[in-house]
Amino acid sequence: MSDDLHYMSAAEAGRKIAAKELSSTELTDALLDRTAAIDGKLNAYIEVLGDQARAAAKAADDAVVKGEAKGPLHGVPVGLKDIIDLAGVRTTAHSKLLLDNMAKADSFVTARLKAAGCVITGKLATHEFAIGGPAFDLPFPPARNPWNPEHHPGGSSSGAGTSVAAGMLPIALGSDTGGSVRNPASCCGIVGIKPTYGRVSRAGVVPLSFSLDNVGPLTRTVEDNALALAAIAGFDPKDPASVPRPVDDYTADLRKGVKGLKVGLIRHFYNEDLYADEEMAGGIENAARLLENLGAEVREIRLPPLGEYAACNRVVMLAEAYAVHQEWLKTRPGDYAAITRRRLLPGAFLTAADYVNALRQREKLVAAFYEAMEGLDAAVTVSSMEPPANLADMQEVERTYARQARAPFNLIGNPAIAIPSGFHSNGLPLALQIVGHAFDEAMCFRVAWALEQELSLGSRRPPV
Amino acid sequence: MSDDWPTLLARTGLEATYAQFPDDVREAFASAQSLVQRMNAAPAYSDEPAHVFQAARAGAKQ
Repeated sequence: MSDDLHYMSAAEAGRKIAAKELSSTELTDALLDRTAAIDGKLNAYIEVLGDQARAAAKAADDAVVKGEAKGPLHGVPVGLKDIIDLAGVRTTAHSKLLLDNMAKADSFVTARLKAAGCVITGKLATHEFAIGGPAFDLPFPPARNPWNPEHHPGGSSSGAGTSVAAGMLPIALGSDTGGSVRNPASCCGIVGIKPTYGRVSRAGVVPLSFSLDNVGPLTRTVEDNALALAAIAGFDPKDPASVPRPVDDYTADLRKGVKGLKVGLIRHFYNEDLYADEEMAGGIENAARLLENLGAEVREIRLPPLGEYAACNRVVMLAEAYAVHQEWLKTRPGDYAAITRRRLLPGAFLTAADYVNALRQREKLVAAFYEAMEGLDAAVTVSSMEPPANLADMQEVERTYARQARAPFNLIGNPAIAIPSGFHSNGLPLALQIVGHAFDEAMCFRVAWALEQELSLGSRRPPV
Repeated sequence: MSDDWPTLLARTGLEATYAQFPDDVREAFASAQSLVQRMNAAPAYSDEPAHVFQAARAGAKQ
């Protein structure tokens, strides 16, 4: 029964809790016990809030008895990347600089999870300030990949990816500025979405880059991801980018299939601009064939070179991030991990004109994407060019980290979801991305769900 | 490396950081220059910058 609980989907758990076939307490205990048993090897959590979680689970169970269940995720445990505020708990951003940063209030997304009846289990590891990389010179160790703990789990929402893939949680929230939800999802063989910019509030989340930051869920199934996004999406006047438009029912068309849909394939990102690992590229080609077999029309599309999107994203991100970090970089540079310091410092040498020109270039890159997507329902492309590197080889970690195709969609603002596409011969997961039109997350989920059913990868478990 | 390095450094206010981590600061300068080049931006006189609220403006499906 325990193993069933560890890998039970959030949707199934929610249904069973509502039907009183399972209690939130039973589920929460099982997941906390698993965390205690295996997280010493994986380092997914920075802080486990066992007592708080058990109290919240008890309250959720009491609510069910009273007929006051709050929705499909009522009683379901969720973890938070440790840049997301939870009132009364410190938000460290995995950094020495914020070790005593006690959150006074819940972030918008935390409050939404609580309103949905979710049980918050704790704060999860991240790359420092959501921009560093896996590092050993921080107050907390780096999270490790459950499929092979010698390898990194992606990032920066590293603990979110690890905890969900390892059966410690069914849902975790991460953030995504250049791919930081989709990277751990890709590396850990799970599902992660970067919603449309403006769809989910960032109020109460440590900023990295104001015009690129997004909050998104990581889950093991597409349906769980749709439910989790629905729980956290919505207008928030405290986030100036938040958009006042209704939240779609992301599960309504989930099972509708892809017959008749028109899907673009952005192949040049992985076989021309960069060269992906052969098996990674093969997974995407296979997915494109599956979509065709299911009745979708797949056609290759072209965008400007991936390198232009990546560099433009980086200039915008570094300029904005430096505005946040400049005082600490001047007065406490030694309190950052070396990798974080090296990643942030280039922002000091970008001029105001560089930043504005990046925004002008951004407009062109956005327009090119919209033009290529004309008449299409969604597009498919690579996420990472290769599986995650071994943590003992930091040169390889640094070399491969930038070899990705996620940043373009932060720059554009459109939704993009990463899903598993298979397994590499080295045992690590393969992944792909599905990109949609602005605010059409439902279409991303629909295409992702169809592929998920065809690929049937859900029964494979990491060896932990 | 630019001949104007002391001036560049003074403009950033990172002298103390440079004293502690000279390689990191010098690499940061090179990295920034490289990024700007790779961005390949050649805006025309009247090209507007993208707006923070780009996606919001875009609305739903095309």
